[in-house]
Amino acid sequence: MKLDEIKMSADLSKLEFSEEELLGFASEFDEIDEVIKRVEGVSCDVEYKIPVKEYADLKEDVVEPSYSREEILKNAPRKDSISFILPKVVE
Amino acid sequence: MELNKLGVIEANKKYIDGEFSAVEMVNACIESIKEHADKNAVIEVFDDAICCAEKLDAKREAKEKLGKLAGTVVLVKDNILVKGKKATASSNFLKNFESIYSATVVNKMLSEDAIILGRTNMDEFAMGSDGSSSIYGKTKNAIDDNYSAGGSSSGSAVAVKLNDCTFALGTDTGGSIRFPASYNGVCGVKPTYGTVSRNGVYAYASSFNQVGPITKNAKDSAYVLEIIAGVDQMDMTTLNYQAYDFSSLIGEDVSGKVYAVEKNISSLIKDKECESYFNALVDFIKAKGGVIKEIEIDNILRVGDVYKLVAYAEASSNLSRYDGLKYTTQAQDCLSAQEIYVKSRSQGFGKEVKKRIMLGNYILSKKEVYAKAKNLQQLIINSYNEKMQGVDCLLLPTSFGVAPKASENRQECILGVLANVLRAPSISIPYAKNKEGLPLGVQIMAKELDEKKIYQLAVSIEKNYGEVR
Repeated sequence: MKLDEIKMSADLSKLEFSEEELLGFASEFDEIDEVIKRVEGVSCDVEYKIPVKEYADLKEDVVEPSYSREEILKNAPRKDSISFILPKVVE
Repeated sequence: MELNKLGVIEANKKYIDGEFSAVEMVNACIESIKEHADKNAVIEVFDDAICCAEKLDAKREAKEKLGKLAGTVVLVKDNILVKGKKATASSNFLKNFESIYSATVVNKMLSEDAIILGRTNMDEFAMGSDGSSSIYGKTKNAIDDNYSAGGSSSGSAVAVKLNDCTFALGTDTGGSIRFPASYNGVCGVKPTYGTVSRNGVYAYASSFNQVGPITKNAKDSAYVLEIIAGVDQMDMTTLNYQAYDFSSLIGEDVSGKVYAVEKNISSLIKDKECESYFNALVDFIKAKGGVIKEIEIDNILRVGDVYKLVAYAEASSNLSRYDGLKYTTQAQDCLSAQEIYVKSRSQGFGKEVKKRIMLGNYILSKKEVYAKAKNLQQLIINSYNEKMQGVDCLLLPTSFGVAPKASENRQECILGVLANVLRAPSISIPYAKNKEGLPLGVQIMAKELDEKKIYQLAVSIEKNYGEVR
């Protein structure tokens, strides 16, 4: 497994690692490549079926009371009384 | 009477009959939790539990109708939300999170007068099978500290075994209820996919995950599952049934019933002790009039591959919501939103979680691999359904032996993930003990929605195969 492929997965995952840490994942990625090869090697002429009819009916698309702004912001690490706070993106 | 040792049905009856108060029951469980604190199974006792018990006692005093769980005390895995309480998925990333609503399963239990006593330890985000990847530290096996407690619902299984509660809830994505149930000598069930709502349960691999009860016996398991099961408009993957019957075959004997063993799985059992105990159970069922049939499910040895590709891919998607902005901890001194995402996630998630997210994104970056894995899942389901025609249940060991040593990494993924890949119900009950007193679990599976057949056999084994708990 090439380091740049592992790095690409780290970037997609929004995770950062040292080069040494990334190399530590190499055997896991090699193993997943083997898993992919095995699955692709099985002759499979069926498609996955979601038994939709058996699942719950969808909710009616109507406006209902929801959580208050205060509740939604309750666990935010940085907030004011109405918003999540992010670093400025426009000066 | 040691109240904390009562099972669910027994506790409910005795409570309704006025034999004890809910406050006495809660106090008995709290004393047990304190006594077993070194096991690290229970990570928080809710401070309003006594108050809830007092209210229930007042309800009984007022002669109001009592629910099916009145008099019972439940502990929930740390990935199930209880309004106003912490739920951290045993992750550093959610260490300060307090839920603003309760999971559907919690509301269902509360509506039947259960008292939610606290939350139990688990592998971080339910990713693990030995209870070690938790911010709170490893859970110890209920019987012997030198052995694994299993995972990821480690705390729930250990707490039930130690009588810290009447029953507990766990979640099972690839054996996470059944492995710890087996290693600690209690009963754990993974219901048919879609039976129990996942609303208010932290998502890991949505295709496979189900909530299930961990109990002191199989009859209690059926009783609790009937209460928490049912369609929920907050989870569109719940099956469209308002109520279920899991108990009506309990009490019937095994005579004339057809039970299968799977040829490939039998050949994987290398542990002589496990093999001899399992064969003795099969012989016992045969002697009681059960018909034993050998089946061979096509591509069964590929279920671990299907599981990894689907579960890791879904994990990477589900865990993308944790961004350091809305409800997780946030890295300090970041100058941009992008920096907050990357630094918060890198500091917040543990090693195993990061690995599965990375591999998941790698899988999703390969064209159609996820779809191919899902198609192979369907192929295996089709073969299972075909081979199970005329068969009541499939018997297999829950694990390839007693609990492994705490430091040992045993490969038994196939036994855990099979039921999840098949969307089928599976229960683990203890049925034997080895010379050291460690329990062995047997796993009973059936076709989708055939839970009552697994409960019929499970209760029959418990009743007739000797007292092993």
